[in-house]
Amino acid sequence: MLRFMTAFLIGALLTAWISLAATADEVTDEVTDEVTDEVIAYKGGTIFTGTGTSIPGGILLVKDGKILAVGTGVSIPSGARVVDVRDRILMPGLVNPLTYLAHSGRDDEESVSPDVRAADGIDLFARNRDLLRGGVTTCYVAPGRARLLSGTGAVARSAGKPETRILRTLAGIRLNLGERSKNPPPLFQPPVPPSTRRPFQPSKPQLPGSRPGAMLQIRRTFKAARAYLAARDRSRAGQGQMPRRNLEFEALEPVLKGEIPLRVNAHTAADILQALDLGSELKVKVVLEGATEAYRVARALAEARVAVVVNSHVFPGQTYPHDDTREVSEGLRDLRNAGILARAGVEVVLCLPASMNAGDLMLGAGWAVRYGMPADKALRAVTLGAAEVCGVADRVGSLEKGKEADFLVLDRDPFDVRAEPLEVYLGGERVYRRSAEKPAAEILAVQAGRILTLAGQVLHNATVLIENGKIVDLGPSVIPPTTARIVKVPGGVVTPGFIDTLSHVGLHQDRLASVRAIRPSGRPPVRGMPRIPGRRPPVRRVRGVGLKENISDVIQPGDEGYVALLRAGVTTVILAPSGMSEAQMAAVKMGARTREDLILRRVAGVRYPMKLLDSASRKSAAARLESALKRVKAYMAKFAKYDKDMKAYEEAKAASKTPSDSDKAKKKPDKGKKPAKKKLEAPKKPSVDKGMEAWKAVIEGRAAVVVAIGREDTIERALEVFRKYDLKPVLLQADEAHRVVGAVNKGAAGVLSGPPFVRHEPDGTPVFNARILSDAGVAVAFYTGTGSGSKFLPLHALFAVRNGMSKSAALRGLTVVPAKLFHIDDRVGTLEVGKDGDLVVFSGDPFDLSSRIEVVVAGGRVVHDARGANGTHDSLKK
Amino acid sequence: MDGIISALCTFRIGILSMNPTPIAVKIWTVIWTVAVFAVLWASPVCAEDLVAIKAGRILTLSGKNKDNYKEIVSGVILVEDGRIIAVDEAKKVKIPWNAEVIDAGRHVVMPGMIMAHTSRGMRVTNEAMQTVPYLHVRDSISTVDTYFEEALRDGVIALGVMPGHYTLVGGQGMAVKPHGLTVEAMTVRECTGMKISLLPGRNASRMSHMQKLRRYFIDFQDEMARRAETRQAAEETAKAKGDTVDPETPLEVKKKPLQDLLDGRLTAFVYCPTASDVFKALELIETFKLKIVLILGTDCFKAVDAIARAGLPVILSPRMIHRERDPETRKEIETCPAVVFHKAGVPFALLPDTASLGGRHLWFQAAVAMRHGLPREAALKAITVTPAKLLGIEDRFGSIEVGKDANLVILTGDPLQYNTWVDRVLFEGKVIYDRKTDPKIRRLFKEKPPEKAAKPVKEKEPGSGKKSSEKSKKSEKSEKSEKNGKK
Repeated sequence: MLRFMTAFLIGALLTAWISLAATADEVTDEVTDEVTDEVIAYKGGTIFTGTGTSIPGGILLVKDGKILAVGTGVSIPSGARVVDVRDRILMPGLVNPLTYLAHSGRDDEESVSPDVRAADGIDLFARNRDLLRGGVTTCYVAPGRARLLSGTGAVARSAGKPETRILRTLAGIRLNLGERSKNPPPLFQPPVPPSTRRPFQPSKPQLPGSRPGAMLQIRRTFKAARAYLAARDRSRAGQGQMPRRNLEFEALEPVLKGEIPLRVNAHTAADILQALDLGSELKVKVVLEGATEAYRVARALAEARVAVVVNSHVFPGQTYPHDDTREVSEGLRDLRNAGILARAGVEVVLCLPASMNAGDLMLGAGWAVRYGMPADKALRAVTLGAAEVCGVADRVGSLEKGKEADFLVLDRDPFDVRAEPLEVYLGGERVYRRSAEKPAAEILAVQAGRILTLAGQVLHNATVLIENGKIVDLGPSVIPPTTARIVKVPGGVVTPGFIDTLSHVGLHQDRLASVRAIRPSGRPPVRGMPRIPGRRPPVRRVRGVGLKENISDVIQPGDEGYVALLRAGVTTVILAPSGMSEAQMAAVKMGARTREDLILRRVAGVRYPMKLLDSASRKSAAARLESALKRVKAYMAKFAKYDKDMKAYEEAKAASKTPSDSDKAKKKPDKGKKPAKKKLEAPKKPSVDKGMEAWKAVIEGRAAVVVAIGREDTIERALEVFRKYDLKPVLLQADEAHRVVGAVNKGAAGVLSGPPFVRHEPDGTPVFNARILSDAGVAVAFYTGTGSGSKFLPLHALFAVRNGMSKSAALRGLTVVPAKLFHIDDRVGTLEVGKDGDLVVFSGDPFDLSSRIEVVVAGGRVVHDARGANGTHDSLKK
Repeated sequence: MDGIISALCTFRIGILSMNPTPIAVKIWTVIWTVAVFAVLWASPVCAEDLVAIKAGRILTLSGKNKDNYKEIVSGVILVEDGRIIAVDEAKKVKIPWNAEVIDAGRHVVMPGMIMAHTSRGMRVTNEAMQTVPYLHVRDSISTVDTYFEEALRDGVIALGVMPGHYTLVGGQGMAVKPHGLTVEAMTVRECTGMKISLLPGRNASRMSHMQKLRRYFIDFQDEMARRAETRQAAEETAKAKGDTVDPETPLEVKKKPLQDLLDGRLTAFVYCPTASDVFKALELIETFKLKIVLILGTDCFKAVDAIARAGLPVILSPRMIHRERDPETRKEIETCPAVVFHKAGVPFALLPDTASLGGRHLWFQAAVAMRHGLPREAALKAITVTPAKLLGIEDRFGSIEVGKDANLVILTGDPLQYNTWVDRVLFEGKVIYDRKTDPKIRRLFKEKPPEKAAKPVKEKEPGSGKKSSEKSKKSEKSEKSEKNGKK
């Protein structure tokens, strides 16, 4: 049910949004060049003006609590304070056209007391958190509701300075038709002091006791009021005597003059028609309140052009109070009421039942939409429409020049079931901010036009939900929780974060020093580090040591180089020392905040150089590889034997111990009589070689072996050797791999392609082997092989596409292929539930030259955000 | 007087030096003697109302600047006929030889404290009729009420007694001193103002409360306007006829106070239970041109800007601290309204509280305000000078200044010290309360009356004295701990 409801709401909204967005161009751009420090510019959000237009990326200028300008081309005066509200929706504060906020205490005992003012009952200092939380910034406050003419309503704002809260003191006279105002208490007015001339009188009964009685009383009152006012005016003009002042009649004056409406609370169809007749008879403007059965007389209401304040009859969290199919004295409820009226052309505004929190107005509007009210009309019904009915449309209800800067900042569509304003501004002053409760988890929701999951799906207009750094949900119907930060890029394209398969980023000269400092034993530094001039470590010793070291020991999170990479969308890097030596390769996450998060996999691969040896002897290269693999096997066999021996030893030990133990327990051990048992010796554990451990990971399929290789014959020989050991290597560079495509396709896991991409045959024809390989079905990933230059990784992929590689292969080569090659596809490479929250949002197609990277998310955190309010290429400026 | 006597002596020596006849000498001697006696008899040597009060410290509270007041160390107050004629340091004032000297030793003298508003000390008050401007508290004040006795014991020299908060237009109040056998004897000022309360009565809403008030005032104004019109018409017709105009029939006694109120001759003491009600009081000023003193509820400090702008004096709620929980941060915010009003420059008076042991005393309330940041001078003025002004008795009460009445309190120590006692209270220079002769105090400390070794009064119940002394010790202790806790 809930899913249906949300899907429905979202669908309705998206349509509303799109239709609204279409009209955005009509908004005139106002230009202001005033220079003042008081101007505040809310920039970058989608502005729903309340007049039916929505302005994406618009600017709202506020000065002295009033709106100075709204639009997209508004020039922000120099010195203005700019507030960035991108990803947000700005909309006018909601207007609740009927509340009972002044209802402290009982109704007045008099049946006719129009001079009771609701304004007197309003607490000017109330914080009204419940109203603000729902976004209701303005309320029509009704006087009592159990008397015939129970008083004058007021319009008040929910917060702000007490002097400025009441927008209208006299906003409408309340008339209650129907059951509620019947049988008021009799009036007892004792004389002070009682005397024989003025003795105590019994209580005076009051009208109405019935519906005709009510009409009689109303007609009488209005007639008397007209007579009084006429006599007063005559007297002012110099004719006749001034009548005794009567505040009751004076209170009715604005209604009789048509300045304020007679707000008739009527529920049954008969009462509603009665109210219409009364309006034309008394020549007063009528606004209907409640109007439970208005759907039955919709046409009459449309003809009479009477605005109706419809009670939405939603009681969320409360028991539905009546069996309304039986109890019809208050009218027969129908939830389609607002929809039917709106479609019939009646001006409908929406309010809530009196027992509900008046702030949950949007819920009422959403409910009306569900039951057939058009979404745009429902929005109008709680903003500008309501303001018009309450007579305050010149001050509030929409975001237009000159009006009060009463607006809401939302992070999601107002009809979203979880929509709750982040901030509420009244007169340009922030009066409410959603409490910054620390959420249990950091939740980020990225919403974009297209999501390329790289797991076989393309999602349109969908959301990726990331919680605590992991993707927890994605798809078009995902609703972010209230605490989520929402990043919205309407036309954007989302891809997984990119992986550079060979980089030295973060390994600076000073890092080398730190390696030395960690190892004061005099061992030479890791090979492949930038060399210190004049000191050339001997080759033989360095090779072994190089393999034993792991480069992840010397890196730090938050390196300057990482920031540059993140900006380019590179979120994961396979890190190895520079050069082409035999070395461990580590998978490192660029967006990590802690060391634990930094290292995705300590041994993601082993790099084995075969290229350097080309010049010496191709045969010996293969032989060396084979001997190296043999050594690994031997090393592993040693451990396997040790494990076997150890197991046997444990078993033997357990077998020998158990009886002796039980013997010991039974009788005291006799020292003289030692059982002649063969002494067990624990097998000696072979020494652990870190380099061999890395190779072990390769053999066991936990890491990749990356073979730096060039010529075709070497490739063939190497692949043969690897096949013997049942290994599929990843070829690095592989300049001539295209000549042995078949062998590569069969024997290698994939090829890492990096600059220079284009090589030339001896006859001078350019060759782009990455394309040839990928076309042949070889998995091709990209690498940069530099330090901070890894930020050009996406450029390499772009270049590959330019040279004929398919877009999908290029994108896979940046994401899912490297993840698979290095066995880190359990964490990165695709956008799937359970994987790391690393993603890149492009403004358009990732391989379109003009698309830019808008947002980069790494580890569930927005690490780069280049969205400009006016579509400027901010990323280029940076 | 010395001058007259020395002149007479000189005159006599002069006569004798003229070498007159013996008879003449005799005659002159007789004349001279008669003259000397006559002068002596007529001179203030015999006068009883010359009083000099010597004190260790005098808090005059008479500075013109509101933060500046004169404090005299080891000073003398000279009182003649109940009026202060001099107040200064001891070395600068010459105490006449014939003045009655009240030596307060090292004690502290300050003006008697003034309670700006109280609805106690009355019997059978009206709380049912909503609009009764013609009622006057003088008719219900009970002179023998122990409330007044206690007030005197606490150093209060004047109280503004007013009808309570439960009626709309409750009647008129007066200023009394807590000493005297009849209301006339107690009276300090006949009528201080009219009480209006914006607290809705039982079963009423704020809306109809205001509606009733508006209707009441407007009906009365209408009636007055009609009266004036009829009068004018009558005058005109009489003039036209050439007749003499009949004297105007005086207004009904019942209606006079309301007329005074609406004409601004009577101050309205308007009780505002909540901050929103302050704006209704301001509306009353605007529409009916009332002269207003506000009596505030605890949270009314929120409307301090509006009050300051309107320039209204206020009487603060007896609850000195307002506590409120911030709905966003869930933190408790503690506000001392006295400090807020002081910062806004609004004159304010403090009221004693009946809810707590310490708050019963005006000086305790002043001390609490001071603990929350109110300057000492402002705290002291809020229980003396300002309430005197609000009650319209500042020409006689509120500070120790030449020309004002000697309505003083002699304290055993600083007024804002918790272990200070009221030693003596002087009304117009006469001691009307003395701790040494206070029967209640004597009962409490029966074993040792401070100085005179008078016999302790025998108690009928043997345990009671001890009990009460323990109680007082306990109360001191609790106050002390409260102070420490607050810091």
